[in-house]
Amino acid sequence: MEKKIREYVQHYFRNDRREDIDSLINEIIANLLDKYHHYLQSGDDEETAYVNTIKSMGDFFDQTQTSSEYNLKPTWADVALVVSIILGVFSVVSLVLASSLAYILIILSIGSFGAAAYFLYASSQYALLQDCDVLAHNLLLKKLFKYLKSAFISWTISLSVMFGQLLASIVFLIQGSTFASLMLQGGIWTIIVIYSITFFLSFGIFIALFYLLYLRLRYRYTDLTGETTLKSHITDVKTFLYMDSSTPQEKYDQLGRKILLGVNQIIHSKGYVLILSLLLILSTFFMIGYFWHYSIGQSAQEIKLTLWSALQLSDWSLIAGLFLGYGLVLVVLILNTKQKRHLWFLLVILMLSCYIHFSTMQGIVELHLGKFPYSAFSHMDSLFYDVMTYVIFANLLLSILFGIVNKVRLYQKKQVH
Amino acid sequence: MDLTGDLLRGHTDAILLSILQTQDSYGYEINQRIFKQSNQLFSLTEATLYTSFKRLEKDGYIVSYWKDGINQVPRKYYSITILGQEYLKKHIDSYHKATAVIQTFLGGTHGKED
Repeated sequence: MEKKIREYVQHYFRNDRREDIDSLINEIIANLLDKYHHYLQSGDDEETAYVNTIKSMGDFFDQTQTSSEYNLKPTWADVALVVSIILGVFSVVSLVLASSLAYILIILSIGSFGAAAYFLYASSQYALLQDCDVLAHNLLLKKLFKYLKSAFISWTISLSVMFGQLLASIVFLIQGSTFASLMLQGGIWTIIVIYSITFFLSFGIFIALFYLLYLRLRYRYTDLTGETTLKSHITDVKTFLYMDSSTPQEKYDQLGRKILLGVNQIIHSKGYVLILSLLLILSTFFMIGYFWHYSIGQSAQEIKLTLWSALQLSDWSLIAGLFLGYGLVLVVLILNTKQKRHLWFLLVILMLSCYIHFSTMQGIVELHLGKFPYSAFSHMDSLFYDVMTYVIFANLLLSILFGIVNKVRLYQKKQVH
Repeated sequence: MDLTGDLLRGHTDAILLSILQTQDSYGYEINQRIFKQSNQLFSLTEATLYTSFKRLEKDGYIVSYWKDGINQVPRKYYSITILGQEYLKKHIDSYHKATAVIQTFLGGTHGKED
């Protein structure tokens, strides 16, 4: 048991990087061993003495980040909720691979959520009426409600695609055509337009439905528990991933995520920002130098043509594009780690970087394969890039919109206080 | 809520200093004294104890040294400094003044004068 006490204390301080930590650990172990022997002499058995000794340690770190619902013993319903979320996410993924699998997964996801929700709600009511335990009542409800957002998001996407497909089939039926016949006639555009419209239509319907349902349930949660705040499962996961470990400066380490810690340190280092800036400047310099070199003594029309051909044929411009792509991905990482998160904004940068990155990658590969006329750049006006461009701009608009809404909300909050 | 515990916790530093004023001591022994002297009503967790020790050491009110205790087990002993003694004196003084004021309200005579 003494060994167990030593191991417990050493494990407890495993991430503490204080200089005098060894001294503190030895001091605590010595005192806890004294206490343990005292409990044994008072008549406790070894197991009880051990538990009492460890309990007397108290809390050396601020552990308020640990969710309060862990005060209740987990039941099958907790597992069912997690399974439901995982199945929901898989149903979204499987929509791309096999839609029939997606149907099965979403049924299972909703089914397991429903069963768990009933069990937790019934248990909470039992705890309140029979045991008069308000704390257990609130915790059980919290367990249930915090998974709502994650579940609703995955269900909204899956159901929108499914419902969109159903609507599209109805449209085909009314048109008197089928998916196969349209494909044979080269009506790929018609198919894409119909599918896009039906998807966005059903997405709008489902997002409105689930959002209203969520608001209603959220109100009900406050009504039942008196709690005005509810940390969602998504927030919990984020807290878990980014939680402060034993000491504030040792983020991520507690989870043994040394790689993440390393990446974080690199990103926060001044040298990294300098290298990144240099890379971006260098790539821009090469691009400008290239255009300058080829544009001497040329007319405006010729310069334009040169620029266009440079964009299409130069390795350098493609490499510059690559750097830009990487650079933007890293900007996302920096913004993310510095807590200046704005989901829509990040999404715009991420998509933009993917857009540039993949087109330049494709360009380079095709250039060296001697198939450049079919390169990404010559297909800039193709459907894929059009869609990408529209999505990026739509995101950008949404980003601005959400930004404004957020600012207004913050302003209103300030006014209230 | 344990009101006694809360009240006592506000004086943890002073209680530790008062024990150290009689003799140098180490964590477990100090906690045992608190437990016995309070008629087994009050004891500190290791975390509270070491947070207090650390604070007092940082402020220069105590100093620590390692010494072999019973069964040759090394223990970290704490000793009160002159600065610590002065602080304790001031704290005791403030405590008496505050108690006298509280006594006038909660001492059993208040409200009976009419």
